[in-house]
Amino acid sequence: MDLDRRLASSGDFYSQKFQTTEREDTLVLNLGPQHPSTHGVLRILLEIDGEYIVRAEPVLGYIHRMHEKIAEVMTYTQFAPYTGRIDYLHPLAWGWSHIGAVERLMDVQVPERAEYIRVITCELNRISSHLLWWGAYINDLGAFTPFFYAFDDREIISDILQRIIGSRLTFSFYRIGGVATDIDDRFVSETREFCNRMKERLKMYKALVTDNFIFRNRLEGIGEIPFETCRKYGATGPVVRGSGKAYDVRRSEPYSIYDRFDFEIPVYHTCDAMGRYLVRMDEIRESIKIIEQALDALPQGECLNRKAPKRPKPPPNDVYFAVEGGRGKVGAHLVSDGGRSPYRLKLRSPSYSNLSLFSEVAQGTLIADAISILGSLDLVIPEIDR
Amino acid sequence: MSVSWLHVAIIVFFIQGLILFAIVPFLLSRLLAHRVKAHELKMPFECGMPPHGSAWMRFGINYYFYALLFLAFDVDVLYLFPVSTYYIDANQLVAFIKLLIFLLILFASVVFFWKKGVFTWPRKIKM
Amino acid sequence: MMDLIFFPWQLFVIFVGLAGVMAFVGLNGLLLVYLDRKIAGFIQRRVGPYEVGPQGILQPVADGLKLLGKQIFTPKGADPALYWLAPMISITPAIVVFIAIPFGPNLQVINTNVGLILILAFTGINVLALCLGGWASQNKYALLGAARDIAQSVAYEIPLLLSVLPIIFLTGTFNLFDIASGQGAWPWQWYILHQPVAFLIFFVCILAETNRSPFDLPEGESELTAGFHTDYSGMAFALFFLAEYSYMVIGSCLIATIFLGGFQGPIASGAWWFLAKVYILLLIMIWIRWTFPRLRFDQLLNICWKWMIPIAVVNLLVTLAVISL
Repeated sequence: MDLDRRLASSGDFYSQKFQTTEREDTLVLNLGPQHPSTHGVLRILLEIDGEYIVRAEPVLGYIHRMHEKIAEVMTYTQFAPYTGRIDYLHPLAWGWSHIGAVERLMDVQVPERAEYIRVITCELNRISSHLLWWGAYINDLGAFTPFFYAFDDREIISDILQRIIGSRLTFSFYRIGGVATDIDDRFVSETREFCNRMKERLKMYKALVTDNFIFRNRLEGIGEIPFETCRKYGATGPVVRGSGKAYDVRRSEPYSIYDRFDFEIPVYHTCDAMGRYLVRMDEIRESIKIIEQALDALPQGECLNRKAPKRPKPPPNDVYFAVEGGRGKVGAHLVSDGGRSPYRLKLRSPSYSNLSLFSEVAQGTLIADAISILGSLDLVIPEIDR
Repeated sequence: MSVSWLHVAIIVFFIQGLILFAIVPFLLSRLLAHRVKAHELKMPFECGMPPHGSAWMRFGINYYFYALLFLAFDVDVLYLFPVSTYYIDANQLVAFIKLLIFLLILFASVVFFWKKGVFTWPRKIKM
Repeated sequence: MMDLIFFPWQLFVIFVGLAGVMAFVGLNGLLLVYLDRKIAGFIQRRVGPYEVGPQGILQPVADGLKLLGKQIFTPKGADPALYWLAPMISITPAIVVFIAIPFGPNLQVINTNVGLILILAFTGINVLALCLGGWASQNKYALLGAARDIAQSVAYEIPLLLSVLPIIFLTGTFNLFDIASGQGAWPWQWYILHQPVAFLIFFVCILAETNRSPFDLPEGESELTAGFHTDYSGMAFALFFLAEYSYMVIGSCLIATIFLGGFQGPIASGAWWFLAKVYILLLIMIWIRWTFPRLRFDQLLNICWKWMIPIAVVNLLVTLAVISL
């Protein structure tokens, strides 16, 4: 009818390329860049039939900032603050992967105290990343209150880290051969106090949210990701640990001094969103354990290797260094050709691999369940687009 | 039928409510607000992207079942309304038996739909 | 037709009642917006509105002025008649319903024998308004929100009616004034003790009919980006909002009248008891909103059809059995 042709809008390039299946009466919907629960500028094209999703396809690139190209133009030290902006929730992990790659390339020794400080700050950052994920996920499911409780704890972490690092969100603390500034007694006592407080808060969170029956019904049985799917797409982190496989970079490819600490890798075999949720809550508990052990064993010494080069000119070589970030395995593949800037820096982003299994997992589910699955994957979109 | 005060009240409240709460705010808004003329302003919101296809497609069939069930139930409950005012003065046991049969037949329709599987939405549909 | 001696009196009552109801609805809209946000702030460990006026009291006035100043327009491709009709249909029955509500022993606009039917009939028009609003917007999110809303509202209409019926069977009248004054002054004489199950079901159905959390899928803020009122701006959105709060107030008034004794109270019966009960119920509704996550749509419908309706029917049967024995 003429009215329909006049009213029907043709969308844009991506929605026209999005081929529809043979089902009739399906809508093509944009879960577009500006959506409250896609955690950033992620666009997902959905073909829906009633309430069910027939096909889903993410469209990326809305926040591509060319980090890898910038790394080719900057020197090794100049690129360090950029790593803080890739994933704004766990920037210390990305910083560690980059600095660790440079140190491995140059064969630089890191003093003991610096290693302990790196471990403590990275685990604190992991706790704050998981807290924000928790608050935002429950916000997507409709309960607006735990978000504020989580930010209460995050404020304390930001205050603790701000005194040492200088910034509250995009930390850039690690330097080649150590860390930028030393920690003092006030940091130690505040961190210990925070650990004690966090243990109490976790009990409250469990009673308020995890044991709530509405919440359990929204999470149990949703988004079954069998381990084969995880392996197919290279998913890491809590996604694969919630599907039954105990893969953690800190244990499988140990780096730094993680082999000195006694902590467990939480694994759940339910493969659903509840498993991933419980994995992350347990990881907060394990991080607190690591921090307390590190604080007890903190040695004296200097925090930065004075002999480490500040403007490195590494020999031509390539190296890969991976750390365990809040979302999974964060990797940096650094290729140098002998100059002051790298020839190529490839950043391996865990959210990219985790997102790629979304279109297979979300096929055939309800829209509300797809939102729940997206939240349980814990995506940070700037890290996907780099 | 005679016009009672109730009818007058309903009409007066309706018209006054319409004018004061519906028409006056729109007029005030017309007077006080901007009048920006831009093409992108009128685009329907679909998260920042131009929408693909018209929004006036057919609904899923599962909503139709609920509407049907509601129709049956609502008419039944409407029949119960006049009964309710007289029930206290009625012949107790016979009236109770009648209402029991009525409600059980009504309830049987819910059980029928339940067994037919209308209420269980599959977690994942097969492609 | 009408006696000339009584002609000015009832009309006078109608117009005075009209002014009172308009003021009540308007003030309640402002108050509830403020209370919602302030209580949300306190539950979430922050202050809520704070700047505008002392402790943020003038915040809803500022909100109202802001919404007046927003441009209202018809989206491209929308059906203009239905699009503008939807908010009007939503708010107008909310005013009419206040005819039959007894605020106090002498504070009721019209004391009719069909008060309850009037209220139940007019609150059902809200479904139509939301459906039209969602359909006419030419917006897929609004369409999804409208579809969900229709299924939810009609589903929860049934337990609503089925849980009011036992009270009517017990009292034998639809006259709200008689129901309210039929209960005693003390809490143990109120009908909530005769029908606790019906009270709970009715309360949950009022939450579901007015699309309040945990049943707020039609306006699912994080899933459907505002659902059926995605494409309404400024004053039109304000009308939907005001209508939602008004229906909450009407639901609370109904509960207070039918189950909690209306304007009766232990010490001095009067309108203040009625208002106290209404506001306590509204506070409970606001509290529930900020505590629970949202139900998924099929879970919501399942709760209605598989749990609420059977329990309501059983409750009705038990009541009938008890009456006839």
